[in-house]
Amino acid sequence: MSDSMQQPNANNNSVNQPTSRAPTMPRLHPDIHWLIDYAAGTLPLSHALCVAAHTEYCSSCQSKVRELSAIGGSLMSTDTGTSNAAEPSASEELNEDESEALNKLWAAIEQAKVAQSDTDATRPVDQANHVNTLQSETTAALPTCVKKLLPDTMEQLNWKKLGRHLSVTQLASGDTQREVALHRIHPGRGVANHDHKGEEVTVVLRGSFSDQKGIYLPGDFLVMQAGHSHQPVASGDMECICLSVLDAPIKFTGPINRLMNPFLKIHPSPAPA
Amino acid sequence: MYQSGVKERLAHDEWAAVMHKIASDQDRKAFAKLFAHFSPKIKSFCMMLRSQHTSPQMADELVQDVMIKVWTKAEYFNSDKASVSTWIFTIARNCRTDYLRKLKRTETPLVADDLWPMAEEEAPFASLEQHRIEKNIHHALTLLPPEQAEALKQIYISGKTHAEVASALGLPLGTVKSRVRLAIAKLRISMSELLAEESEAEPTDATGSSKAAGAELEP
Repeated sequence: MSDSMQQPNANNNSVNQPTSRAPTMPRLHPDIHWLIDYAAGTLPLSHALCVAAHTEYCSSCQSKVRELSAIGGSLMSTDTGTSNAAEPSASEELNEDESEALNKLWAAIEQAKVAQSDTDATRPVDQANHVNTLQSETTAALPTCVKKLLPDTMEQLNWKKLGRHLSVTQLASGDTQREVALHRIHPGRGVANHDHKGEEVTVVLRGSFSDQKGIYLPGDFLVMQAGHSHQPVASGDMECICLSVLDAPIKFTGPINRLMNPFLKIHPSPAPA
Repeated sequence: MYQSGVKERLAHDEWAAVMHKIASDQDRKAFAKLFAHFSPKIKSFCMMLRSQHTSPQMADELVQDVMIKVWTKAEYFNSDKASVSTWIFTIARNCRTDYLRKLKRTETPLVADDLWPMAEEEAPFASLEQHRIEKNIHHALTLLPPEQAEALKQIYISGKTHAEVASALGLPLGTVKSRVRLAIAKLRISMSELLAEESEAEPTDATGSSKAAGAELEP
């Protein structure tokens, strides 16, 4: 691929301003039903991770989620079969059970305070991380929710090669049904043509890639159904990093790559012994 | 009715005022008031979860988890961004998710607050007074056809997926999806009318309206 596609600013920008996102809005968004399920809290954890990552790039979906959460707030306060005496000034006497619950609560709050001061003490580390990792290949520019699953640098991850230009690392998302992974495609390089045996959700985190259907930029949210076949190529001189969630293993369709298929097993989060 | 509208508005402002008292003065009386009002709502929200784990004990534990967060995070409550009931809903939703996740005992550093960031951690939003949005939603909810309201309730309150709602109601998935989509569209129209009003009055770009795609990095 040609070097003329490089965007020198893109790199500097993402390193110097870890919290800043791409200046463009993502073009591909989750369907409204995904956002509803996300706001209602019924999405599987791994899919919620994808939506959360997307909303870090997308102010439009952020405000949709806010609206959809307000619907939840409304439903909780009206539809749960309790009285809706909305005024705090109305006297709401606690019955015996409730007074007891409140007393228990105060005791628990005292305990929580101790735990809280512990977490406060560790909080500044978060910011220190940004500074420490600027020199190295950093994970700092990735969405906050994804970073939570990552060490400070990409090198510390256990990358497995899936072909010459694609590597993959599994993340412990807590979802036992689906495999959550980061995919990394070398700059300007392609991935062998492959089928998807199950639904795959992809969110572009850094760089961009294209396939037969178009180009995908940071924040773009793609759902590929089973049976879909494509051949992604990373753009320009920047490697492409994607978050992906897989319901079932992908299958390579090229003659040589087909030999790799036995090794492509799904790796969901380990359930404890 | 004009009267009830004023009352409702007052109520939203008052709950926000109660939250501010809790945040700034650690006012225990204000917290008791909030507890008296919201804990039964949180409890029945938890009891209505369709799960094999749902029980009064689970609900009590969750009420406690939620109210602890309300107390310890009170300073982050921002009445410009969410009403008190929406804020508490998001806390309850996150606590419920964490509770179920812990039961599965899977190993992950993620907690619900990472996946569903609470309003205070999100980017700034329009200064639109949140209680007006809430008031409109309340009203729009009462106008929904019962079957649409029911579908929404099953998703938000009972925590069912679209497919589970479909099988519970004995309907095709497509029917449930279109009911939900129609209901949400109506509710969102009632909100966007307010947003449109607001942006006419005060031109801000904070509603997240999309900018022209393809804007480049600054030179």
